[in-house]
Amino acid sequence: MLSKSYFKNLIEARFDVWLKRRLPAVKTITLNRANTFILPSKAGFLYILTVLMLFLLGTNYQNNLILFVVFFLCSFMLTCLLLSYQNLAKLTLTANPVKAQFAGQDCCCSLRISKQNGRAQQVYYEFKKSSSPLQSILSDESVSIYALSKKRGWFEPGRVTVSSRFPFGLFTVWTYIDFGFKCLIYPQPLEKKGVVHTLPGKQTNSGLRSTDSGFEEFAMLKTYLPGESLKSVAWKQVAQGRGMLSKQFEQSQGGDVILDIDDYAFLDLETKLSALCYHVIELYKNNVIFVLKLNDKIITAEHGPAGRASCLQMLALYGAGR
Amino acid sequence: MKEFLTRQSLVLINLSYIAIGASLFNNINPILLIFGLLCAAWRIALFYGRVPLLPKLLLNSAALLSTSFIIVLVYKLGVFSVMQHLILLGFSLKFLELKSERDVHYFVNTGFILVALFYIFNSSIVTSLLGSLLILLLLSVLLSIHAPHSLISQQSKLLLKSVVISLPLAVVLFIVIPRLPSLWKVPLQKQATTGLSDSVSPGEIAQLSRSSELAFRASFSDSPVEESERYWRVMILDSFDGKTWSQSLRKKEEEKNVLRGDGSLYDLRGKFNSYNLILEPHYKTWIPALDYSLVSSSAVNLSDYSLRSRQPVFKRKDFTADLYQSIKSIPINAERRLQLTALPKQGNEKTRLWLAEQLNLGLSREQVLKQVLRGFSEQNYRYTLQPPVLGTDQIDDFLFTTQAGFCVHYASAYIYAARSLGIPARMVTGYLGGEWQADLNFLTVRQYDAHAWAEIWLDGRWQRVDPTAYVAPERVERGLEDALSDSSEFLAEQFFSLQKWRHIGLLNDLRLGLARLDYLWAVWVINYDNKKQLQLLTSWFARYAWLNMLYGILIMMLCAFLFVVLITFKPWQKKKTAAEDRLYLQLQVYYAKLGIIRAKGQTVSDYAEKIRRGINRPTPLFDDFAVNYNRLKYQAGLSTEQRNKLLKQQQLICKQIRSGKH
Repeated sequence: MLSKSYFKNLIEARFDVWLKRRLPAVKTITLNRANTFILPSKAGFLYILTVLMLFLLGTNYQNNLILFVVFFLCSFMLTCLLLSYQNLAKLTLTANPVKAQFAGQDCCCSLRISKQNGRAQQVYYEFKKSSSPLQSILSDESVSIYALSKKRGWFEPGRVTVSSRFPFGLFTVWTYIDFGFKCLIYPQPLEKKGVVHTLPGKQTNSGLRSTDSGFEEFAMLKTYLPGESLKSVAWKQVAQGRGMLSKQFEQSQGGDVILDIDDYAFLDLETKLSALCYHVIELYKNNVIFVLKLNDKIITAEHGPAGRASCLQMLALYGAGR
Repeated sequence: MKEFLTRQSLVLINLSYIAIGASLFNNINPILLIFGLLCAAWRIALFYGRVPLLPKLLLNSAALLSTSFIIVLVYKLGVFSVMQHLILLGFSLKFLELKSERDVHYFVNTGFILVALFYIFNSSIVTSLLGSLLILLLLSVLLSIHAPHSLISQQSKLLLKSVVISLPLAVVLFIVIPRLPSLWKVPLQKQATTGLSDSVSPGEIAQLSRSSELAFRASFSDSPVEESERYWRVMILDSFDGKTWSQSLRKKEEEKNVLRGDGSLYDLRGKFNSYNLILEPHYKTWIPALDYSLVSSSAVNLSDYSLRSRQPVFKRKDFTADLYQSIKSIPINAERRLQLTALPKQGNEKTRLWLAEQLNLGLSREQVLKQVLRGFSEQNYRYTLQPPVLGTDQIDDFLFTTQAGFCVHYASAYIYAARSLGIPARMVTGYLGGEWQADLNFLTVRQYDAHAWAEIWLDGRWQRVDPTAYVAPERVERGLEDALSDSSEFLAEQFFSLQKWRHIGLLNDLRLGLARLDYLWAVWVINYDNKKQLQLLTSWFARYAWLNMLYGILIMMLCAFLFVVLITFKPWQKKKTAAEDRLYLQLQVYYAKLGIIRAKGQTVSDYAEKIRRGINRPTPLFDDFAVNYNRLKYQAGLSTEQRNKLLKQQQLICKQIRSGKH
């Protein structure tokens, strides 16, 4: 069994190498003879078998009508070959940029479709190595294909299989296109009993200040630690039975937030990053400015989605460079 | 289970099932058809969610049970029939498990095989067209599951297109691909045979006389033989039990040997003609033969000069026979003579008595026989297809009481008389006459031309005597319809037969046209073989002596293939440019000459700006053009009228700009 899978892998590897040479990565592609494959489908082989049986029947009974049916079915299959190819030919697909996604969630890779009138019917799109249970969503002008990764970092979902068995199901026309999809996967956010450091006010340097000055703004809830002021206890949440939580107010504490990976010493690396990821998201939600400290790298969070994205990217790619 | 069939596919699947079941109706046990309909009904109910999907175990046991039931039911009918029933059973059972595309493909492929089985028994033009409709229906099932989102009109257009463009190549292949001989011996259904059988009691031929079904067609290399000589010999009946004429054991043995290819050889002299027969399937081996015929291959002669095919004729088949003037008879020995004069010991006393009286009057045996024939023509005998019923002593009753009957009665009485007198005699059944279609050059012989006559051994050879000719000479010269005194007896039960209405001119023309078409179909399609293929291709390529036949064939196939490719991809079709774009392009060419070239991807408004700067003065005309262009391209809900108006304006602007007057 081992050798069998070994050979299978070997063949697949060789095939991939060949595919790479034959169909290099592209952003946009128009399907034609050079980049599509066509072979009889399973049903097509069944059809061929039937035609063979009919041939034997016609020959043995010396029946010209049956033989004519045989010749017709052969000729019909040839027509099907052309029609199947025609259906997919001249279909132009363009890859859209892929949005980053959290680990464990489906990333959506979308393609823009431009087709000739009435062509490209019943085309199926999926990843060659399917990883997501979600079905592709097809509309007239675009298709979204889903891929899933549980690992943070750069994720390449690989080649897209575009296939069709239109019109009679006797042939499968297909191709594996490499759109060079590269999806940034953030760590999966994990709510951990976090340690969020707050810098004392005097230590505040430029840029480490909360944006909204002058207001006592509620920032987040965190687990109540003994010794904290009872004023900051979120009594409402206590009443709801969610345990003792303390309200964090940005201005009241007068300092900025620092997220340090070293504060999670008791966790493994991935969990650490997941916890940090959670906090980054939460802090951005609450518009809190913070500092992200990853060992020797220190980033000051910037405003807006771009800043959030760069923080998350740091987390996603942490340790990837080395 | 998620229903994967659309309503349309379900309708098509059921339709094709019913059509195929109906087409095989004759060869299939009705119980199976009813079972199939139940299966179909179950699948429809499943579609509407009325019944659950059957569990696998139940399905398998049902399949097993029905298979064994069907085998028991049709076991007697032979291997072929069992095979046919089982395929149809599988086809019906498939209904119960149609739950994926794969199942539908199995269903359709089984359908193809059933259509082929239909073709084994049906080869006329009409049935062939019917079969092709079935194939079309099966293909439409495939299309409906693989293109569920297309409209029905689109689907049918695509289906017709793909079928029509596949036909030329199919025809070329049909013409040029050599036919292989049978690879192994094939079983056949024990089919009810049509036409003459191997025993005759008065009544059977009368039954045939009511059928206008085609028996065979014949064309002659020389002029056709005379009407009075068109006695098509089929079978010799030499044993009589008082009621029925049948073949003696010896004859039956001879018939059996035919299948092994054993026959008798003769010394034939004086070849004067030859004829080609297209025999309708009758599932036996006999070939109608004129006296004296010889077929060189695929058939053998029997000792009684009749012809037998080596294999049962289960489809329209053609035979070519040579006609000879004389045959050298083989004398019959004492044992044969005894058998050829054998009669039941008892019965028909009156006839015996009458014959004895005649002999006592001093007449010779030959003279007595002539006396019998004279009686037929001079006494009050009637030729009718609906004779009165005869009693135990058939010959007595016929000769002395009813005096009404048809060929078998007369031949039977004559042979009885001859044998009583000790002259070897035998009954020959076959066909007499036929309709000569002068414009088509062939003779059409139908079942109502079935006939029986006598042969007696005189002067060391067999001589034909047709007693019917003495009572109804028209039967021999002009055919059955003229022989009947009451014409309503002719094809009494076939009101819709075109034969019955042949005196109406238009209908008769139609009938002859159809007959010609049918004849050509039989010769060139059903019986197209390697010989005809060689003949056809040689005649085609004779004009192109430089062309090797093999290359010619390849070129034909290539042409048919190219036809399909060209029709599919239509390389001559260019993308149509819209009218507004055409005008825009003209202006671009015009301004390009002035050195203002539109950059790729530049919008029409930007281009207008560029032009203004390029020629350094306002260009109101092109600005208008740009505005109109944008409206034409992008304004939603533009009516056809508005559109045409705008286009007219654009044309005007374009003209003005290009004339350079502005």
